[in-house]
Amino acid sequence: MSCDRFEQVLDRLLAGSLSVAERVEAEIHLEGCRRCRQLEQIARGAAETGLPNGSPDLARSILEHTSGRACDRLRDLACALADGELQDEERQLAGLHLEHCTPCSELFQALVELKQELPGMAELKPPAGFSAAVLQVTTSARREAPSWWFGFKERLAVWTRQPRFTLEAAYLGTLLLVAVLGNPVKVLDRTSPYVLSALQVDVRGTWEAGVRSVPPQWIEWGTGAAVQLQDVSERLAQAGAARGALVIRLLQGDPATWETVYSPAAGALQSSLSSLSAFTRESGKALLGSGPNETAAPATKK
Amino acid sequence: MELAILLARCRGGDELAWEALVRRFQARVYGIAYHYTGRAEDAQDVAQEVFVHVYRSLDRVLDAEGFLPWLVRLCRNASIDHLRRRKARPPASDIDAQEVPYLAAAGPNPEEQWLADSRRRLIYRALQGLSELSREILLLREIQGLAHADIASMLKVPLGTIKSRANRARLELAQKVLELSPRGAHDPNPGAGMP
Repeated sequence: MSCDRFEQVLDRLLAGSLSVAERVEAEIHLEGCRRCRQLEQIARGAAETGLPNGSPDLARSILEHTSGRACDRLRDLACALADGELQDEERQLAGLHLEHCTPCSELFQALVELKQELPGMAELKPPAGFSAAVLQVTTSARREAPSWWFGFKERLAVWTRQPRFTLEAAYLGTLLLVAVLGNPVKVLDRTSPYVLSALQVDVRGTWEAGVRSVPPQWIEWGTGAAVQLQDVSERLAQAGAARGALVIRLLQGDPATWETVYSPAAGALQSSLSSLSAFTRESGKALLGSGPNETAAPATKK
Repeated sequence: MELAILLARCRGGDELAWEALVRRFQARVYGIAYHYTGRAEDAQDVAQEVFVHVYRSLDRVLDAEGFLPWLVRLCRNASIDHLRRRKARPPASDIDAQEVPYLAAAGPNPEEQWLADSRRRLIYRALQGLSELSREILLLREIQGLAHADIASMLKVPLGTIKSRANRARLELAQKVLELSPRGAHDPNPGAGMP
């Protein structure tokens, strides 16, 4: 048997439909022909070339080792095929794949069935008495608020449904708050001058030298705490203050209740300024006069 | 009666026309509301709310062609608002099959009706297994028959996204139906072996 003849009978050999004589001839040829032996093994799907065993479909074996299976491509076209939107050529190619691919064929069949069934699910029978209830409600609705109010409510519902609504509402709310209450940072601008005049700057020396204070420097406050701190620094420099913590203490009325409102280490300036503002509003006292008694501060003069 | 004529009569205050309109669309509105809320009583509340809204807004409905997309949009928005008020999410897990009210008999005998209903229940279960967006696109496109452009406008999603997601959702649903169906699409005993 020649190689050409062997190729002609190969399919029947695999199908087992060769006559005895032809099968013997083919087997004898296989024993002596390596090429045809490989071809036979490829066709059976269990070749030395590494093809998967037991694959009877030659085309599928070839596809798996070349472009890969076309199922993904079929899935891309399945909906259009079900809708009748494919061109003739693509429709033929897709149909050819479906003839030989069971999973894709089942999927496509399910797609076609759903296309027919889903529209039938558009309506769901409401409970008994539903229409009567609707008619009753709409009859009473006729006597309610005018349509402009209803339209406003509808538009409001649309606005509140937008994700940005919360952000925009918060922004507007903040602007409103600042407009009404003012900038909380600039609390000193509206603070009573009487209280401001009661602030004392107490400079402390290093702890090794003990607490050393200079005579209280009354500060004439102007605008903004930042300016006053700078002013305080200049005064301290003029007074030859040593290094140490700068402490601004607020007179609450009782010299013994000096409250540290600012400490560089603590950095609690903003909250302290808020306390100052609150104190101003609540007491309204006039605190003009000399500064607190030196003994109020735990200072040891050198 | 044609919808355009019906709407015109409703705008004119014809109560019989309004009743006819309610009866024509109540099943659709209720179905959409049920899909979103997952509960019969909630769906009933939402559906009533929608019809009251329609009743008050009849003057703004100019043409019959735009009525259905507008109605679906109303129902969707009302359902979402209702869910927010309820502080619940749309049902993501299997529903109680007994809770799904089925339609009037599709076939002449109880067995065919049962088959049709169980098939619908299977499809409904498969729908619950999809993502929220896919489920919604299938509801609006494949079930309610809205155009892609209307859906894109309603969901505020680009038109191209709607088209691609719609195809993907159809394939996903088909796959899930195959998985849930024990022995093919029209198994005479689809309830057997179903988890």
